[in-house]
Amino acid sequence: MEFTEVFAQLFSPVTFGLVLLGCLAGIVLGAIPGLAGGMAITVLLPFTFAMEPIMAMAILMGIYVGGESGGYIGSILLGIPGTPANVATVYDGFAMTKKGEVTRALSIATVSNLLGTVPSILIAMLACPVIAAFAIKMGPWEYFALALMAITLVVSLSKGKMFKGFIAAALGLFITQIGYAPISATPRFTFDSYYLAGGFDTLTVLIGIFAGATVFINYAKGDQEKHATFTPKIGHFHFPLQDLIDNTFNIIRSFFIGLFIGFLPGMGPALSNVVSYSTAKNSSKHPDEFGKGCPEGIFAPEVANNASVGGAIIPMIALGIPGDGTTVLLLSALTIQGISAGPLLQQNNPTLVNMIFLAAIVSAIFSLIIQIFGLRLFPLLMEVPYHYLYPTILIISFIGVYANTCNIFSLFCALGFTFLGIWMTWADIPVTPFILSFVLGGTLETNFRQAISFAGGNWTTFFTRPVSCILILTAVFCVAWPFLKDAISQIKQKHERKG
Amino acid sequence: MTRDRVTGVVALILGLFIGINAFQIPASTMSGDPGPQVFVFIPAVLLIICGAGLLITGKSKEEPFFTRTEAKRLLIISAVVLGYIISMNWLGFLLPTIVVLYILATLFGKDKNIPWWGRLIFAVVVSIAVYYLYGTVLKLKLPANKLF
Repeated sequence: MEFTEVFAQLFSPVTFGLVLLGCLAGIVLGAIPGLAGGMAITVLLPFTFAMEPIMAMAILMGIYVGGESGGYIGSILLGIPGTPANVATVYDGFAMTKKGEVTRALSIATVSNLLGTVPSILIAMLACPVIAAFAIKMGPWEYFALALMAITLVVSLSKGKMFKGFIAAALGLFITQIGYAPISATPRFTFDSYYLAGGFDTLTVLIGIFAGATVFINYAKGDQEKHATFTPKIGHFHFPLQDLIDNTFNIIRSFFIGLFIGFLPGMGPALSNVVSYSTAKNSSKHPDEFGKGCPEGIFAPEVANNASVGGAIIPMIALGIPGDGTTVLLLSALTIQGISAGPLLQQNNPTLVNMIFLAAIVSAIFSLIIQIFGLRLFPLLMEVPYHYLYPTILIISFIGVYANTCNIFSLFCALGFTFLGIWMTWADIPVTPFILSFVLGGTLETNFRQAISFAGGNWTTFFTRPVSCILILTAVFCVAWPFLKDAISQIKQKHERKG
Repeated sequence: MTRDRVTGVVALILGLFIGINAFQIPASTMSGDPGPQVFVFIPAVLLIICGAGLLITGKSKEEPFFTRTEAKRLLIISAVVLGYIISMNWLGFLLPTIVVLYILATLFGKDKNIPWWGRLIFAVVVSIAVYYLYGTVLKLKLPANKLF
């Protein structure tokens, strides 16, 4: 019943046209190297403020899916990934171009995008109600433990720089605490400033750290002048039937890697494309061909990074916890529209949730069509004038912040976060733990205090409740595992030397 | 001092700052509720421990992340954007944006010899487009003119 309503809305001329535009914008911005995947949504988010939630989410899904699809263009044509989700595509994609098979490479990647996105969304549609039904039974203990696990999972990924990962998480936590505390509304770190009392808005932080820092650093480093020009001619799209048949198992495996990694909170296409590529290489019968232009090396990362789209949507809709960096923005969009995300989202807003799924599927199909017909125009994207592009992005980003908060102070804050982003790049501190703990900090604290209140001041209830206990232990394990692994291998080595 | 050690010191100082200020946050008035103070100690402690850890173990590549010229460029663009925000506060959206877009296009395109009228057209067109798009089509609020 709700589906027909959603269909009708999606295929109404205005919405349809805007989703198409969103897709196009996503592909273009995703393709341009130097603009990270989330930038497209960050920059275009303010456009959706005046729209109704359903339309806003439809367009944002178009931009999201388009952005995840377009990134391979730079990887294949110039060996420069459009987004971090397309790094692994460079190895074989660019090699294929150099061999003269650029059309084949582009066709494979285009088809991979669809193969990754659509099934993952379908699985999300089936999984979300199940997970949400389970999640509704969760109490504040479980929410706290889940948020904790999400943050520690991401921190544990920064192996080799765990200290920095924790510093990032601590920073995010601190920044989100500025303002009024949850539950008791006690002012914290406001220094009697009227402006600080409101705390920092998510968009302000994200625009500073992503858009602002990227443009500033690019100017400082003069990066935009280093792009080569692309000369070979591209033929028409050619459906890679034989390559598809040869790679069926690879595609299926890459799909599930992408789906699972996308599902894990805080990790998404940026990780899954690399993991999928290495897995494909390690389990290949001819690993030496990787890096020299073999189709497996393109299918693996491109299917995985698009499968992460559906994967990341599952926790976003079912739990209200971001599945990756870009879903953080989608969650912010929901908040700005006045909709609270969480397990009750599907119950309270079924039309909206169905629109999200449907728009994603339609966008994937749009992206396919746009890419098939636009294949020969791709080199144009690589010639974009950075000296016009970066200033425009900077202006639009900052104006977006103003449009969201309606005060100039937030622009100063965005500038401040720009400096923070620059400092974090300089110090090699990972950004994802920061973002995640900034977004989840409120949830973490509110549920922590509620849990203890309900239990009358008793802290042990976190461990007496089974789900909460398991999640917390997993969180601890994630952080401890790298150290344990090292300790175990050291012990093994000692034994081997003795024996 | 390597980069990591500097980061460690910064984290340590920040952690101490947060921790000291945390004591001024009133403890909870509700029974059973740990209060707004407890959670503030968590980032403070994390920062102190990890800051100290980085300080002790910190080593990183020796070549600086930003060379002298790059640092200067960073300063330039920071000053431009800061000036932009301040001027927007008094002059509204349109005029400062045109000026800043022209300046930024000049800065970014220094080695490409783009003609001044090209940059001017770009600045004016984009500013007006954004003004129209955000202000009229999307009905979003843009900084308003306070002086005249």
